[in-house]
Amino acid sequence: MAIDLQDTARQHFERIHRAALVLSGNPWDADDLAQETFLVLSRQGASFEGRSSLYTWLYGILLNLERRERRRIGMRRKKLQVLWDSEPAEERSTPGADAPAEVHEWKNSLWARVALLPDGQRQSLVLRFSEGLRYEEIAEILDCPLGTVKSRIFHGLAALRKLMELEGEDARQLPEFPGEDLSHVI
Amino acid sequence: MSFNPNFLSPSDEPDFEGELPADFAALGEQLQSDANRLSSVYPACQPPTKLMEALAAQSRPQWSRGKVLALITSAAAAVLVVVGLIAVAVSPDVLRIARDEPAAVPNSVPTLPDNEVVYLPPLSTLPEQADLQPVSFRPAVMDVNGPELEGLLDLWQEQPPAAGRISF
Repeated sequence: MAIDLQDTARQHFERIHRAALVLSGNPWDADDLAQETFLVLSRQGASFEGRSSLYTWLYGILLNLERRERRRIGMRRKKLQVLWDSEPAEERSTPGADAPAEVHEWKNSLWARVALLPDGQRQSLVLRFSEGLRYEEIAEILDCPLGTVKSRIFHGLAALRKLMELEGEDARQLPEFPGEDLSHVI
Repeated sequence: MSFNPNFLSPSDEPDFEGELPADFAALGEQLQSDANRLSSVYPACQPPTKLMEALAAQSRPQWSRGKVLALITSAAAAVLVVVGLIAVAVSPDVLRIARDEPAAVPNSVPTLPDNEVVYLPPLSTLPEQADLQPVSFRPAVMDVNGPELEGLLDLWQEQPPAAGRISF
């Protein structure tokens, strides 16, 4: 199925970028993820069969790329942690370059808490509440039954509420964005 | 901080049909609001349209070139198979004769009664076929008396192998 790349980018780039921003926590990674998503579209557009909406297909690419990136970062952190633990305590230096580049506004938002959830819950919440997709569309993107999507959203929200309780926060008293910096409570 | 996001038990499965409980709905609205604010503070960059077009243009000929190569390969294979089948079909008699009937070579010239079929030794062999198995020929010498037959055989034996063709 032939895809008009210019038209597709004009229509869907912003929403893909927003999802990438919410997922990654900083605009630089969001730019990379969104652009990479559309480059994948350019290379593999011929494999799009038109059985689903183009934007749901794009979300699928984005989530795969983001999951791969998280895995890569996780592996790097584990390796650094092993190196850190193997060093004598008096010779340790703080690995500042490994600190995640997350912007202040994101850290103060609920999305920073969502980032702590398992992949399935996290992705379902992003697609539902950041992107406003229907449950059926989310099920199609994540390739799982509708009931699983509802369950993930329910459990994700419950976990989010529990997390906020643990932090001593009340969901109804969230800081006005971009107000007080509460990054110290994370 | 230790936090287990899978703390809910299976008995807590949701029973909502699109409608979330009120406190969950408030969380959802907050998430939506946060996402909108984030995207307004950090708007999208420009899509890499030029690179996209370049990649698309690059991938198209690669795809068609591979397909053309596969087509040419399969067509060549099909032609070879057809040629082979035709070659086998054109020369079935020679193969069948060589396989089924060994050459019957008489040790001596017999004195035969009239109307007897005589099997002559192979007189074949073109120079390039000299190393092939002899092929039996069965010329039926009919209505030939004894002296005539003897004369014919003498004549045949005098012929060089390459030109060994006798017609009656």
